[in-house]
Amino acid sequence: MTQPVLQVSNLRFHYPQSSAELRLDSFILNLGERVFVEAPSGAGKTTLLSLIAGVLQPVSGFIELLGQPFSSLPETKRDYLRGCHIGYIFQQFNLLPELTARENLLLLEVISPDRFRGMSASQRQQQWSQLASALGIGTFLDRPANRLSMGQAQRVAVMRALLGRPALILADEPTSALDADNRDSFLILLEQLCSSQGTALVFVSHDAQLKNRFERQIKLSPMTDTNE
Amino acid sequence: MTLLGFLQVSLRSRRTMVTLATAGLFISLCLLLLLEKATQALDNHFQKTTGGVHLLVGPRGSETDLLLQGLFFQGQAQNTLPQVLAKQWRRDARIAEIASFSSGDSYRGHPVVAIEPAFFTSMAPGAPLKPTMGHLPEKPADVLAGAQVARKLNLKLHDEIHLTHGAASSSIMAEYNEHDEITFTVTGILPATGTALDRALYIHPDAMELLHDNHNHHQQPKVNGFYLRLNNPRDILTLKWELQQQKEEPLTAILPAMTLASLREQIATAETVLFALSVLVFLSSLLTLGLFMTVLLRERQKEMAILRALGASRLKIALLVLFESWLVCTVASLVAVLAVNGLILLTTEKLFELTGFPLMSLGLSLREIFILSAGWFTVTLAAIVPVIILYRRSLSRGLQS
Repeated sequence: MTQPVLQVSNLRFHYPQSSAELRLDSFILNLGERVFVEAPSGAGKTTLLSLIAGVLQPVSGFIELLGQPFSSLPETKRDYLRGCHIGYIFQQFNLLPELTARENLLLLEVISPDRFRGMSASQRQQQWSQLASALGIGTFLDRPANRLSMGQAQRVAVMRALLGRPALILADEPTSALDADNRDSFLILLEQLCSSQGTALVFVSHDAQLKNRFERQIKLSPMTDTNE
Repeated sequence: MTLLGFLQVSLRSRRTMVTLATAGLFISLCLLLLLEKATQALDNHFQKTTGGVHLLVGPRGSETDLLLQGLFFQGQAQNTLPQVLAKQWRRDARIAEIASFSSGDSYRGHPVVAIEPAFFTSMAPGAPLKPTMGHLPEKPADVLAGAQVARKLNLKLHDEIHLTHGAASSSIMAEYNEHDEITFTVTGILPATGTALDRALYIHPDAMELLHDNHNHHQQPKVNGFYLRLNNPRDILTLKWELQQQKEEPLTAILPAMTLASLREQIATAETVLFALSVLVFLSSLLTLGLFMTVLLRERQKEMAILRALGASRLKIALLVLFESWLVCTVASLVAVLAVNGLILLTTEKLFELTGFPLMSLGLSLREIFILSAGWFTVTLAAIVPVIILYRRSLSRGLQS
């Protein structure tokens, strides 16, 4: 039995100047699994993702990533592991506007070269062309990101998240800026590509309509004020 | 794409701000460097100008006036001394050389000074000073031209010129005052010394009598002052004291080096004020840079969140921002060094020609490197504020873009 990709235990978090607390009960995510986190607005969905990504540290509880005590590691170690094992997709603004789509993709390798450590040059090349053709982005790779449509930009973001075969992708409501048609095709692509390379997915959204597409669902309750 | 390549693109995307910030720093660095160049040139010039003159003796009066007349050939003497004083002093064993000088005439705006040749052979800056062409004045009608005068007025050997009484340079005055009784002939041209020597013309002391004494034949020859060179510099202060104490003729005797130093000190006060102003200009441009960076942080929040998500540590991002400010400062410094040197190359000779402001040197001195390093260091300090804000905000906001 392989170890879980992500293990969350009794997570509690609040910002230093705030008494609103985020709570998440335990859950385990195995390789290739997809979970939908339903988070009504104000429930702290970006905060939760920042915790799982290791940018923030929980006040209590813990997060394990690939068997490592991720949430209690020092910050630079968490940054390193994030770069190696986690792909992140923002709601929007995933790309640096002045860089071309290609440069935005290459930026990953500049910042986290170790993410590609297990892959040969030809494997990388192969993954690149597979993803590019599956996502249909070959035609605008050399266009500056600020001249891409929202749908195009989000597809580039998916490609960057999947490059280097990370164990986990965190998606922060990536479809909220897309229209219905684009949203459906985007989700189908994301699911397919994740399962084809065995990447686990945490998909957070306030849109409960989407949850039926996922095999597992978690509901994040609104952040509660502990002072009440 | 390397991190540097990324930096380049990132800078390009904010080129307006980056250009403005660089320009601000550039201008203030130019000010600081130019001031330093000017100070160096003045120091250098003052040192050079003293030459080998141990004592400068003139009628009782202002030391500064005497200095200006004797070494810079500026200003008009109010009083004179009898030429015969030199005869007495020659008997003094401590004195090695004496040369008298008389000013008061001009040629097309340039001072004309009657100086005894001993000045050029043993006391002038760079003595013995031999003319590059021709010889020192030997006859009353000989004129020796300073290097710059010769070049500016295109004087050549054997050119004939008429001198003007007084320092007037306007053409009406010139015509009115012209000593057309005597025609002078250019018989020598001095090499460039980078001092006031280059900006004047020199005639034989006998010429002065020819020019002026025909009005009052009975008087004995008068001069404006004397240059003295001693056998032993240790006697300078004693002799100065003796000269000022003697009763027959009220005298002022100065050590040019010392009077220059005190003059230099007065200028130094002005320099300090200028330097303080330049530092203020520099600081204000730094504040602008810091302000720009802080304001732009809001915009850059997205960029930072993306980089963080891709695995960049907070330290790396902080360094990236710092590196940007270093780059701005380095570019501003390099361009400032080039611009200042270019400006000097183009203007320093013209400036010397027009105003007598000493020649500024090209290159990059140790002090200038120090100034630039101090600038670089302060830029780092200014950039640290936004960097710290960025560094802390990342923790309080998570991956919020």
